[in-house]
Amino acid sequence: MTRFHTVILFFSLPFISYSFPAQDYWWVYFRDKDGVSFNPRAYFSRQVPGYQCAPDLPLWDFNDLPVNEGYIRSVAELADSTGYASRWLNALFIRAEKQEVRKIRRLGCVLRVERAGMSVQSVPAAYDTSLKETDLLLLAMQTEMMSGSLFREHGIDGRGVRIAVFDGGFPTVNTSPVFSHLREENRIIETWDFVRNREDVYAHIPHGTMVLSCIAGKFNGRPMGLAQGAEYLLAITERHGEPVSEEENWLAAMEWAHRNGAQIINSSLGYTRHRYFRQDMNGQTSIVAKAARIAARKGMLVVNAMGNDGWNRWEIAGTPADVDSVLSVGGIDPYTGYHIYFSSYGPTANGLQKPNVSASASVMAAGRTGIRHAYGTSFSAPLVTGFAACVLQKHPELNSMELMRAVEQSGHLYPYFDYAHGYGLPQASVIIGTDTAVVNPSFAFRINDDHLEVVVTVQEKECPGILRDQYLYYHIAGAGNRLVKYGVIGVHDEIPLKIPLETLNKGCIIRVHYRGYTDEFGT
Amino acid sequence: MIKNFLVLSILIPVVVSAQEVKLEKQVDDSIYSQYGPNLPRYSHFYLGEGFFVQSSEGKGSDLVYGSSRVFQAGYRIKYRISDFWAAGPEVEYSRSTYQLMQNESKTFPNTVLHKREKLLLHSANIGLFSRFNFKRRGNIMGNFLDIGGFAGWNFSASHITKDDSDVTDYLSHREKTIRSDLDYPADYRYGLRARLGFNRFVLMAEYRLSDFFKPGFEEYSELSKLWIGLQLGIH
Repeated sequence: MTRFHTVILFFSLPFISYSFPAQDYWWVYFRDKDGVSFNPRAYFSRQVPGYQCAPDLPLWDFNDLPVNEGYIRSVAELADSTGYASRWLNALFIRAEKQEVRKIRRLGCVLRVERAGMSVQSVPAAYDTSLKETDLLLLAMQTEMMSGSLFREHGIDGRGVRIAVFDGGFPTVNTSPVFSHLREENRIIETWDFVRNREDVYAHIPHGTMVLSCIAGKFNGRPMGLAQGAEYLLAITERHGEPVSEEENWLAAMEWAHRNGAQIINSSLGYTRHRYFRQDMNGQTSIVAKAARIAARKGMLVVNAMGNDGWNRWEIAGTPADVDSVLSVGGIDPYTGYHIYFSSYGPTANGLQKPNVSASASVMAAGRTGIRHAYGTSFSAPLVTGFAACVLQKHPELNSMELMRAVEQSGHLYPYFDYAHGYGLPQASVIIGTDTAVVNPSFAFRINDDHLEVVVTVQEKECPGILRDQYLYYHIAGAGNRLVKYGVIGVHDEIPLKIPLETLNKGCIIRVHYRGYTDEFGT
Repeated sequence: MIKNFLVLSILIPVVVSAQEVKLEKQVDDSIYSQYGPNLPRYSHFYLGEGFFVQSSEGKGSDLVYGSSRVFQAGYRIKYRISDFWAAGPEVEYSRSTYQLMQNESKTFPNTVLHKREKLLLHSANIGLFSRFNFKRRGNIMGNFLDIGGFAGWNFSASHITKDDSDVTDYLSHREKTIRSDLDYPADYRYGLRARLGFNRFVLMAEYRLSDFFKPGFEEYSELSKLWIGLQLGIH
């Protein structure tokens, strides 16, 4: 072969390879559900009274109707293969070549065809239950930061609430002593592996085991989470390699959880740079965001981790933590009492205030072989899931959005918020009603020359041992209450904060929170 | 004086620790990604190392495989044309090491046998590539196939031999001889490249189309033209 032929062949390679059909994944959305039949009593779980999650919602709606089988067959004849048919989206997940998709688009029943999005962040032998004193202290702190012992003292442990947990696997949940109470009391109601289409979930990625331990684990009688009395649905939606189908699995698991009566979903999962750009984090673009919004309309509270990208260029929440009706949980360092460096920040791409609340992101969690120190907002979310389950047990009349508001309003910083802490750590004392102490003003605003000063007053009542009460939180909000700047200051003298007035635009609001008291100053 | 110094050294820490900023964030108004591998323009450094895998044409210039290798360090600029297609230039330094096999058939550069003998070629190269990505992705490099070419200037060549001295007593030593200003390597080189990338990690192959030797040195067998190796994108 001459050198010329070598060059021609070499540069032809990509075109030759491209001429081989390139298959990809797609969502085919249908126009309607005409002609389908549906029996809600047969479809929904018989374990849940009324076969639904929230008493004030209708038994079923359009989203619950099945996808038209004839439409599925029409598409299946043209596609290479078909996957999950989503009732909620009225759509079919397929794998097809571009020319096949063109034919599918021309079908009368098809509304539109979209390419499926792409990539998760994401943390046993004789089970090791040995813990050092420092580990035991951290184990206590992860629930006590939310005054969790108050729930236990009042007999509140999530009983009567059904929680679905989506993750990559739950190895040793069926054998570990940490979950023996769940097994003995038959609190694991249903399981399903959406990756491998089978019931067994007690294998694969141990991240799910660690997350579940932060909701329902019990170590030598010590609680690791707040909802040991709840019921659980366990679903595997993730796998190594993070294929496109993970979001499809998440959607399918959401529909399965709804059918099985889940009231709260814990999803310590998020999708970011591998599939999306920052501007896509608007609570509407991704498939999981769409599914999470429908779940909220159907009465389920979705609790999602904010993500661990606070330290890198992505920085903001992943999806579905970007959805307005999702309770997004940020991470707190239990040793400092404020934002932990890796917890993702708000706002979302469309300016939504996130996170909603925060919890400890440094915890003791039960893994495959023992109890270990673990880091991540993956473990903040289940702590708040357990908290939400306790709130729902105490107030079963709350719908999902009311439940979310109740958790937010129990935050230790409420009504103050910022894009690192949200409303802060939820407090059981607010839910139980023991938080009745009158909060006296702990600071005042003062204009001095050309500065706005925050002058703290000396509190008669000390709060020893609670580090976070020694911090002053502030933010500067501009138009639409969107934050321009925020911070946390350790207070050591009378005037911890001074802001030059010339740096404040007209219409700005400066909010400050210190020792339980919040006040604001408007320009 | 000492008293004043002591007073100051106590005061200063107190003043500094009057307030302690634990966290301070200026909210970035621009949510749109300003930087990243899947944006319209992206550049990065890379390092590569590979080994010659093709035999020399004819006897006389056999290479020691495993010791004959290429190192490259470069800078690449990628322009995104579509989600599927990108292209761009790259500039790099490369160092090619041809470890010559010491056997009876050796004729290049002569028939003298040594303990070790190698040819070092230092080049400055410019390349152009066309990139084809396989799947829709977010702001990452993703999986890709690069097809391209390069041209370069061989700015330095050395012929290095190592021999043990004939002396056997305490004066024994190893002799290293470096010859530069060689008259037989070609001044320029050009060829083709292909890369299969998985985000930062890239399998690559390079085929030199040009001749190693200048015209007039036809008695030497052409050295290996093909090397395969790994490249690491620094991003």
